[in-house]
Amino acid sequence: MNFQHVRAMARKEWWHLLRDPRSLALMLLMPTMLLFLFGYAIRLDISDAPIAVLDESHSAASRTLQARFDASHAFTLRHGYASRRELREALQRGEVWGALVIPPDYARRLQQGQARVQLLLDGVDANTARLVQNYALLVLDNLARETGQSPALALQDRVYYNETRESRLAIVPGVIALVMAVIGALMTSLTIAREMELGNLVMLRTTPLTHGEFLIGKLAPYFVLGMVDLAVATGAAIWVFDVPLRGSLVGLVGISAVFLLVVMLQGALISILAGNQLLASQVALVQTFLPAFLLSGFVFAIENMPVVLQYVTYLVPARFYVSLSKAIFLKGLAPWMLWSVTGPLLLMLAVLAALTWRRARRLGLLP
Amino acid sequence: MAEAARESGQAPVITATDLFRRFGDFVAVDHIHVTVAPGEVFGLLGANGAGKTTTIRMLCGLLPPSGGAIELAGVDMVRHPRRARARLGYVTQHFALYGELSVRENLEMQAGLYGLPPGRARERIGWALAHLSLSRLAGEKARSLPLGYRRRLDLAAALLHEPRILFLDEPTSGVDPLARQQFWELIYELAEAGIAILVTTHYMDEATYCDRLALMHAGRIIAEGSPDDLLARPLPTPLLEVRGEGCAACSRWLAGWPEVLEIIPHAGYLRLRLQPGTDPAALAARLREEAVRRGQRVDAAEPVPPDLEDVFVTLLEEDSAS
Repeated sequence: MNFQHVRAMARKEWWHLLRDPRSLALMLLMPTMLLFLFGYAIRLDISDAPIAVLDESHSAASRTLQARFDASHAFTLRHGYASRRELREALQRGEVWGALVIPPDYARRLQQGQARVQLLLDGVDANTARLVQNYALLVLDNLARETGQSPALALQDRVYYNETRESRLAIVPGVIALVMAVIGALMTSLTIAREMELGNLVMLRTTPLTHGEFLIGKLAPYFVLGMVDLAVATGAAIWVFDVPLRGSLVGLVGISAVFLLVVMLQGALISILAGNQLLASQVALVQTFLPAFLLSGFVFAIENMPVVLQYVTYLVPARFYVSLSKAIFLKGLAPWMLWSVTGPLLLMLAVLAALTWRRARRLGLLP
Repeated sequence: MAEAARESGQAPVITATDLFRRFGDFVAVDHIHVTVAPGEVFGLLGANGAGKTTTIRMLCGLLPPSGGAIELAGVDMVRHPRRARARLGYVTQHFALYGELSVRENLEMQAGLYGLPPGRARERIGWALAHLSLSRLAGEKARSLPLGYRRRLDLAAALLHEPRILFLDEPTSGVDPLARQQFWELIYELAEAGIAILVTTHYMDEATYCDRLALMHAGRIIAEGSPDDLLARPLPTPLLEVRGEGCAACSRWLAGWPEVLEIIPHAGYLRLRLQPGTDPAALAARLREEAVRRGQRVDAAEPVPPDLEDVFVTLLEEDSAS
């Protein structure tokens, strides 16, 4: 391994990177864009959901119930509806996400311990409907418990690690994985294929450059940029999105470096196998970005997937990284405390490194 | 074969013995021998598919031979490719440097790939820029250079590590005549400095610039020697040149004459290849009479000595016939 050869290769790649406005924009804007997109746009909780109220009871008890809904941050009550038909129309127009009906006999039946209220929901957005329903149940349960009525359902209103139950706390660490998967795999998938496509490889073959020097020199600049992206994303997570970093920063950086290498090697391998840029980038997208997005447990919980798909997730490096970065951020753990997650990532690194190294031999450079 | 080496009193720096390469059933290079001495310009000629590029790729270590031995500056190319590569420079048929990088950056990268120490690299890049008249363009992107200058950049990149051997694979194809002339002047200078140069080409005028030529056909070298040697070979088919306003019209009836093997039209004149054994002077007289009879103007019709192309065409015909 001649360091000078590696340096010549890396420097050239760096010049290429800085000159190509598209790749530079992708590397610098992508992380910020993804963070803000997912940090703000994906809503897995509700706040100030507009709920229409039809109070047919007109009692002290029904006013207490309304006050409870009002006091919850999840809901904003809308009054002034005279009938159920008006409620339905309001739902239809999308003015409100749900409607609460307090029947005339509410106060009387409450004393008998069998009060009922009705919640009308807009099922068009099933996810939001479920959220509204759950939040409403929670309000009712709390009220029932406090007034001494034994509730039929006892929900434990305590969520660990994400006390405010804000989904962005869980999402932002996941976005970091996504960012790294994009930078790592998409960018590196283009780089070797480009040399093959444009014929530069023919020239390199006549130089004393070895395939190992070639690989390391090519990947080094992307590793540096990937780590810069990690810093940007982590900084944004902590200072813009107020995600607490409870675990070790060193651990986070270390495991992120391992993950970055894994996706970069994936990209490099795809690049060598594909041999042209278009195919390579498409395969890389399907192979790394989409699994990182869909199968990593970043947005969709792995436990809720079909069993077969759950097994598939074990092949997705992002799956391990997402759970690890969440654990480091939110639970304050360190990578070495979670060998069941760190181990597979290290194994993937070793396997991919060996595969890429072997494949790179076929590039026709010196061994 | 080794005359040139003996004349210069130096051992050859390129020695390929019994070189052989097959692709499946197809034999691309069929047991050829090549030697090139320091300071010699050796030309490899042939049509596309004759095996020139396969040969040069094997000599550069880009393609492992199916059989035979290659020695470059005393190093076995097949067994020690790394050491051999440090001794050779290669200019590929197509531009293979980085179009997005500037001329200077490309050279800096090459210097790094060949492991030149920083001071030496600066010195060599300075030399290459000045020597190949690229100084003015050092900051330009390689992609934006005219083709002739891109070939110079290729050459500069191949020369940074001071190779003793230079391989040029059709270095001037597509380059305009003036730039080609200048490129060849550079090649001569390098040869004078003692570099052994192996060049492939399909331009006949370029072939005459070489010290020694080998003509390839169907994977074999069918003739080899200096351009003068090759021109001195007795040609079985005499040649006749016909000039005059009416010569285009003549070609119509000449095609029917059994003695005329081939009519090669040029601007303003015709070149006739005659059947072996024909007396060119007698045929010229008959031709002039016939032209007068038909009222077509012919100023001259006389036997001419062959040029390299004639020699090669004949050699290829002989080879195909045997």
